[in-house]
Amino acid sequence: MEQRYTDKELMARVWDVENIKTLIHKRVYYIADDRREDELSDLWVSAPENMATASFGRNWGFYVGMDAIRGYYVDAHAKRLAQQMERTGAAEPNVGNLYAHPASTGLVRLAGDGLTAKGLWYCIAQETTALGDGTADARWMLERIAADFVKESDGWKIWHMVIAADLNCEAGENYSKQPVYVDWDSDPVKAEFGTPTVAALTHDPTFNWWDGYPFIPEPYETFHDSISYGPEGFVPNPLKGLSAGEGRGYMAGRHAR
Amino acid sequence: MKEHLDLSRRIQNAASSQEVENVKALHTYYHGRADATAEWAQIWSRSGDCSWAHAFGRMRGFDQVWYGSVTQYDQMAMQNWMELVEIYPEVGGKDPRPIMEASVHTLVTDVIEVADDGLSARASFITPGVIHSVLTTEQEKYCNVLWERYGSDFICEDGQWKYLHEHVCPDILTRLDALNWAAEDYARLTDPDPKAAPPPTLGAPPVSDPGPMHHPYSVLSKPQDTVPWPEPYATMDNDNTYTPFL
Repeated sequence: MEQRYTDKELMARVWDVENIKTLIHKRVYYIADDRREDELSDLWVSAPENMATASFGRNWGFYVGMDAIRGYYVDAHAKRLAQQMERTGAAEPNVGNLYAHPASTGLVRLAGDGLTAKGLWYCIAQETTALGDGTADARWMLERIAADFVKESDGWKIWHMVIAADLNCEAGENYSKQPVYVDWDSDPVKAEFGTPTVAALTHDPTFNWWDGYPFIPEPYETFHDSISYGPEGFVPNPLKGLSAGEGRGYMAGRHAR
Repeated sequence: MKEHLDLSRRIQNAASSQEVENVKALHTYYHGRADATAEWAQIWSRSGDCSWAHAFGRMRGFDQVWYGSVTQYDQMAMQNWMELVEIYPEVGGKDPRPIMEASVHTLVTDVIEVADDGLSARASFITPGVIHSVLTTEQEKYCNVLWERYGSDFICEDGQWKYLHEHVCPDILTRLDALNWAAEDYARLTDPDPKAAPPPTLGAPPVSDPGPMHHPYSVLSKPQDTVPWPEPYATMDNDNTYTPFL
């Protein structure tokens, strides 16, 4: 098979992939230390054209643009921490909190042109939040992380990110005892996500991974919107899932739970 | 450091190591959707030497591997769907395979060696994975934890890295944060009405090399090094493989 890249080019590509893996691993430590502002400043895009199109998605939609991302990810979070301090009486933020989202199962695709990359990871995560009565809410959180990366003048940066939760359950509790259907209205992560720039149910875990989102990154030559992990690359499944009924309403009352 | 290889070969092998990581991760994401067809059609060698082994034994040759890993696996998904649709009609029109479960064998602690000749690679992984599903015939969602070790061999065919051998070694399978695998095994062994250990996987397809090829955790057993990590090697042969060649 004809070799496409020279040795020097290939070595540069190997190095790029290692830098992208390091970038997503560093993000795990920023989260663990709750350095959200630093994460956005150090790891996310800073070129104006990329800042405008940057996005942060979860199961319920996308924040678009670094200002909107910062409003959700940093400012609203800081407000919640201040409210938590009022409830707990702690002298500083994050007393009794823990954030661990280790990234595993990395799949990194560097574009043929070397200017962008896409990646997918899985997290068996846990978070703990101190409560006002001296106890804490400790949870398991299973989620996929999908991200687009772009090479800026000072290195690789996160451009689009989707964190798609599969489940969220209290530690020490039997997950099987939760109601079968997720009650989004009481989901703490959904409540935290607020009102995104683009609202869309991107991943409904009711049907496990049937909806195929976030999709597995394929090899590609150059970036285009249709393969983006931003809202422009999200195509709702024509079979919409639970939100469309699709038989559930017709059979209402037959469900045991 | 493989300094006996020229720089060009070392660079090629570094890139190959990353490709092998991606092939292994693709396995996880295809399997998470229970998409056995994509997995075996796209990332496996169709060589007569390919093999897939689990505690129950080893399937050899692509025909047998496909039958056990795709045909029978799909059959389970379809049977599950046929029962499920009676309870949850909204699964109608949806692919029965991912509806069965999301079996997510997360990958950590990889040790990857690419052969000096650049034609094969060998890798060892640990998977502290999870298996979860929401709509079930028991009408209870579940999340299991499944810890296994993998011994994986890969070959390069026409510039594409493909799986050649997989040896899966399950150690523990239990409910996430709700049960204790050691206490469960102790209770089973001390039960006055003895029961066999539960199967560590769905089904047991026909095999060429009968098992057991690995034993799940027991309070009576020592840790097993069934798939030792690969050492640096020159070319794939019977001293450097997770499946001896016939």
